[in-house]
Amino acid sequence: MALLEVSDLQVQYETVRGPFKAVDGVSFSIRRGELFGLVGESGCGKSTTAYALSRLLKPPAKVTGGSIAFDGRELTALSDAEFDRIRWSRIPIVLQNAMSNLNPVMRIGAQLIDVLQAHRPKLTKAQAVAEAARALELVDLPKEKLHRYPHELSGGMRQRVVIAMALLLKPDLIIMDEPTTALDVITQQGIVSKIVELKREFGFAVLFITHDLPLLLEFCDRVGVMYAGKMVEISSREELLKGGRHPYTQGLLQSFPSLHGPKVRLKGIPGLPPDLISPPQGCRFQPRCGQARPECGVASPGERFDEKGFVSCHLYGQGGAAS
Amino acid sequence: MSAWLEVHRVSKTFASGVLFRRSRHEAVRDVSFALQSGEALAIVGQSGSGKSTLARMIVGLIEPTSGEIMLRGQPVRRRTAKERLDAAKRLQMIFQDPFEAMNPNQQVGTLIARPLQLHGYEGDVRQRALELLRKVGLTPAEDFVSKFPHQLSGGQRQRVMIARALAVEPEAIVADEPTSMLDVSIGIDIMNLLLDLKDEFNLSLIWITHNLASARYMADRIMVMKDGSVVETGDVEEVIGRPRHPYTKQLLLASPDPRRERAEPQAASAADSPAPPAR
Repeated sequence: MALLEVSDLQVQYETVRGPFKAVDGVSFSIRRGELFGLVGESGCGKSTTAYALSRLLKPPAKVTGGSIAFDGRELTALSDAEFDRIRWSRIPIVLQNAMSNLNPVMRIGAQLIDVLQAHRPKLTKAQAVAEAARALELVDLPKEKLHRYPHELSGGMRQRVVIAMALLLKPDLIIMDEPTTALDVITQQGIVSKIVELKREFGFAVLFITHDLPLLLEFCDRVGVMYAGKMVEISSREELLKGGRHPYTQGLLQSFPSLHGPKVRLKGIPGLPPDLISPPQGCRFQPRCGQARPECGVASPGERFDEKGFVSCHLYGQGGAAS
Repeated sequence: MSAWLEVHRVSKTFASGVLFRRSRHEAVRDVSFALQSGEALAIVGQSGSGKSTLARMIVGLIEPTSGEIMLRGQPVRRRTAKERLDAAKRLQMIFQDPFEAMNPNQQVGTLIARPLQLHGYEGDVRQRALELLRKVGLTPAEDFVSKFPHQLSGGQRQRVMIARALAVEPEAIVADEPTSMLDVSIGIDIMNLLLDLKDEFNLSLIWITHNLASARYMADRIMVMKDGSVVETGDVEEVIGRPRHPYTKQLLLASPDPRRERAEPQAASAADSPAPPAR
């Protein structure tokens, strides 16, 4: 059984121009110990999905449908108080800006201890200090940093502190929303290899959200590709290295210059993502798709689950329901 | 013959702090290079490497603390308004965040007309603005002239900035990470547009980036900066294919690239590959 099973998730925003679905019927699952990447461009709903899973959405955003099953429990049915008990302990979330996770006026040590004591009230102060120090060591930070304030650390170190904090309570799934986007590539590499190393040791699963598909292809087992509120493809790393199945994925892979191989002119993807308040009829990618066929502008593509994963595109059969 | 642009031993030191806690920060340290007409140079570095400070000195937004910048062998003077205008006519800059480089109260047509008027354009300003908008792919241009910056997408704003830069028919464009705030599929369009314009108008291009792959895509030559100094410079394929400086090697290894393993399996051995697939 999957650790996380998201089915038909819907998140709606109320705006002055009318409601729109930032996440519109997204389904995916993450296995225990899996490194799952979620990729897409601004506004595709990837971060909204992360916030929905962590129940951190604020009005005007609201989960309006679907189910989130985590380790056999339906998360959408939990009360806020029940959710609070699992949010950081079993499903922590690491955000792009580490300062969104950290309190600027508390020392690192106090914050780590705070997390421990909130979830494990029986722990003594000395035990909590020892565990906090051990957590910092896991991310290669000396325990002296316990006495530091967040602003005294570099961006990379702060993000390591947040990862240490996420590890404190032996989580099952760490959600990471663009955790390295604000960092230099060398710092990013250090953090990503650390995550992979710790995952091997502790066996947690990771939902890693980014716009950087090449980064996900360095370390993820599987990647979900989102476009305009929809999941369009879920494929293994190997499948994506072969070029991907959905035309959007193919276009995305065609948008990153490479350091290797012949220097070729990249095509990118023409046009702009749609306005979600009035999305195009049929497939949402169809206005930008070079492989669009007549039916693409009429009917929504079906959802095809097969041995390669998932793809939602008319090119892969299944007419799908008219929209 | 002298190069089109020559940067000779340029340094920039910023002073910060107050009174008893003054500190000095050497943002750019003794940098020299030359750029030929029509050539594309990428300046690559991480945050704090001094690449943007260098770009700002080249276009005259800030003065070097020492060193000299020369165009066709003549030192660039920017003391009088006339001298500044002359320099601006030859070198134009486009920025990372186009929104900050635009007056939010001005329509696109006005934004583009402004440099034309400043530089004493004698033809029909509106016609020229429309022509420039078409040149950067904003069509129908008649619709775009009356738009305000907030009505445009990030990619469209950057196109307007490119149109504005082209208005004075510059000899070079200095582009400071113009795609880093854009989605990748939009960013690549902007890169392609700049490459096309560079060929069409024989522009020199200085491409500032933190991304090695985009440097390779855009430039003929590359200059790698770290902590204000140049650590390696050379032909872009040469430097990326056979980096000599340890820092360049480190940057290369840390840059995610799905084509690495298949194209050059020896480039990333299992031991130093940044993050091997977990399986």
